[in-house]
Amino acid sequence: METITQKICLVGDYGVGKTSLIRRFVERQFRDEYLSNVGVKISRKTLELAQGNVRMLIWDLEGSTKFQAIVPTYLQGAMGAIVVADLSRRETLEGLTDHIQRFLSINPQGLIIVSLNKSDLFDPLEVAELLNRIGFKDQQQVLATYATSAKTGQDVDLIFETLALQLIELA
Amino acid sequence: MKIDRQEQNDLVNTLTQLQQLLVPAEVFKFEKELKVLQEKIARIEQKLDNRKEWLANMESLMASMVKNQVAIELSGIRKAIESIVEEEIELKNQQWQKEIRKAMAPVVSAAIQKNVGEDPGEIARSLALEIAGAMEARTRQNKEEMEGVIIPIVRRAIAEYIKESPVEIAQAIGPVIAKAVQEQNRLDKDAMVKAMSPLIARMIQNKIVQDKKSMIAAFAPVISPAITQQIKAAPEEVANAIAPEIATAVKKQIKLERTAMIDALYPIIGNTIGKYIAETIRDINRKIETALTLKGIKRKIRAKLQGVSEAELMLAEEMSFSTRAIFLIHKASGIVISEVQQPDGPRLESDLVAGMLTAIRSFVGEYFAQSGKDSEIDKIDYGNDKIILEVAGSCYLAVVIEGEPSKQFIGKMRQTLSEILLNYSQSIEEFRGKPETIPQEIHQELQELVIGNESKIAPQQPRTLLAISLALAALIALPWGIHQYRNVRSRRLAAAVTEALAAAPSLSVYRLHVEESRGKLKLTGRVPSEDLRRQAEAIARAAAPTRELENQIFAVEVPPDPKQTAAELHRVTIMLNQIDGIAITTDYVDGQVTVTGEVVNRTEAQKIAQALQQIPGVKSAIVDLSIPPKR
Repeated sequence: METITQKICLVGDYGVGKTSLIRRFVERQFRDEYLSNVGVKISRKTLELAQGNVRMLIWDLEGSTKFQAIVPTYLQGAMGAIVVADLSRRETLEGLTDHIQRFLSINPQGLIIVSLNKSDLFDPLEVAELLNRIGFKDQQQVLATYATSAKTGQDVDLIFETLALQLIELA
Repeated sequence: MKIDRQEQNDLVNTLTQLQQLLVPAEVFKFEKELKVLQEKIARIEQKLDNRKEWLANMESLMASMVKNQVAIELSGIRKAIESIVEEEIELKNQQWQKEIRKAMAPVVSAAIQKNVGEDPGEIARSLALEIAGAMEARTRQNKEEMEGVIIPIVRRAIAEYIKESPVEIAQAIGPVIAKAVQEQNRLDKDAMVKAMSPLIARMIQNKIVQDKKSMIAAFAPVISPAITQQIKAAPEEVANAIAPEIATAVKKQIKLERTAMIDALYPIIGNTIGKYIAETIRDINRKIETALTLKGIKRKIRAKLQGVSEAELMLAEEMSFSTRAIFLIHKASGIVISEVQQPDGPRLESDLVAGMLTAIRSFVGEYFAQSGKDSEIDKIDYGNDKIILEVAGSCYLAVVIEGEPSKQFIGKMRQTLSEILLNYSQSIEEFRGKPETIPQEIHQELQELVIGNESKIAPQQPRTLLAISLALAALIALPWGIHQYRNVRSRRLAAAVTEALAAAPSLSVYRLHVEESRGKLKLTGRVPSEDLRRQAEAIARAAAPTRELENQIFAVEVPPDPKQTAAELHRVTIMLNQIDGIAITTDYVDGQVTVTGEVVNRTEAQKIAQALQQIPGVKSAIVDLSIPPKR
């Protein structure tokens, strides 16, 4: 079966759990301490889907402000992005739109999944209500918004698989 | 249709004029009109008393005449009346016409004016049916007059009509105009050109302002062929026209589409730089080749043997390298487009290597760009290994190398990237992670880069080795051959001299050795007398006249050993007995030899006595030999 390779980026503010999501997805583990990185860290995982295999090159972009100047360069050539926010920090939710806009300004055809992380810290009903409120329904390129938890693994695979599925259909 | 006052007046005037022209001819044709006119005539005649009386008289006269004559000759009367009536009517008609015209003119004008004002459509309809015929007839009678009248009307009418219904006019005139133009073009092309030319430029300008897109669409297909043709026809003119703008255009294009420009220029720039470097190396070569040192001379010889330049050898002396892997990487996404890795080494995680290299490149590029320097990272060193990055517009080559790569290899790498870009830049630019969209040839090019790198020097090695081996073999074989040849010759010569010495009866009993050394013949051995020594030398000289002779035969006085003397005597006796005709026996006692037997003649007997006396230890010989009688 053919394997296509796709670059996707994980973007979001500092400490929202991007690296943890990748660790959970790629390495099946979670560490409580934040693994800070230098600008970008690249991981790889191949998903075997019914439509074909997708080799995902996941670029984990550092969320701290000192690397913000270089982020647009790192975003180049990405077919998809997972934009992450921390449900426990309101300002990171507010920053989602900026991240989405920035990604789309560089990759207008790129696909986006929004991940509201650290959902394990909240009551599921509360989370569901919030999800309903933050929909990005007016953004055509935003495929879906999910509440995730790198700690419990909730919907972590789902966000990557949903993105991969769309990417292989578009490719 | 709305008509204002002025236009109404104009129309009435026009119709009045037409009326004046047309009415007389129409009078007899239209009964209705005629009746109206007759009534009007009747009314006019009533006003004219004398005419009325004349008419009344005429009528009464006619009536009585008719009454009287009908009974007599109906047909004759009818004929007579007819001619009279006709003549009368004709006469009347002519008079009436003038009168009517005079009288009617003001009335008709007013009437028409009124009628047109009330119902112009009706007037138009009623007149329309007949106008054509009337005009035709009138035109036949007096063309010029008709033209003079109609032309101004027609002009005005056309102008008005165009104003009101331009589309209809266009539709109506269109086919005619096309035909007319065609026809005119056929008849008098020059006139057409003359007529049209002043308008064309303005027409085009105007059209461009009105509808730029359609003009572009219209001109687009001819522009390329036109430029091509012009370039063919007047290349210098075109060059002069374009040249000043090229630099600006290139700058602009670089600003707009930097990547595409790099892709386009890379193959040329690569070659140019390659040529420049080759030139420089040749210069270095020339300089190096003039420097004569022992090492330099050795290198020079090796270079000649291997068929490579000294500079390359110098580089090769210092450097050795091997290619671990080659990756062709999509510049923006960092996805591997194609890769080749050495099968025997540890396999590199190409995706991650490519991703990280791309990130590092981006990082460095971004930060240097901020400092105003537009440069690319072209090499990453780690220990003895390197990653060489050769960047073009939409992709770059990353070559993982152990050791120091040769310039030749770098050149080949650039050449490969050039060729890939030249042939497949579109596939690379549009690459979206699907491997089947990448032509197989790209992979082959990379493979050739690795294989080519290995085989570049390889074929030269056997040739070099062969040359060296041959040279060595020649060096060894030649002296050896000469030596062998000389040996063989010397052995033959020595054998010939030995044979000659053995053939001499006086010497054959002694162990004499003949050696050939460095062109000289050396005689060794011992003889009991100086005489025998000289004799041996003379024989050797005769056998090998061209060779220098070294006589090392010693003449020694040996105290005779009676046993040895007896044995020697026995040996000599046997030898002498082998000579045909000689049959002797010898006996030795205290230095004296007694010889008995038969010989052929006396001379032989003397020779035998002499030979025996020369045996060391033989002091005297008693010869008692008989000579048998001849048969």
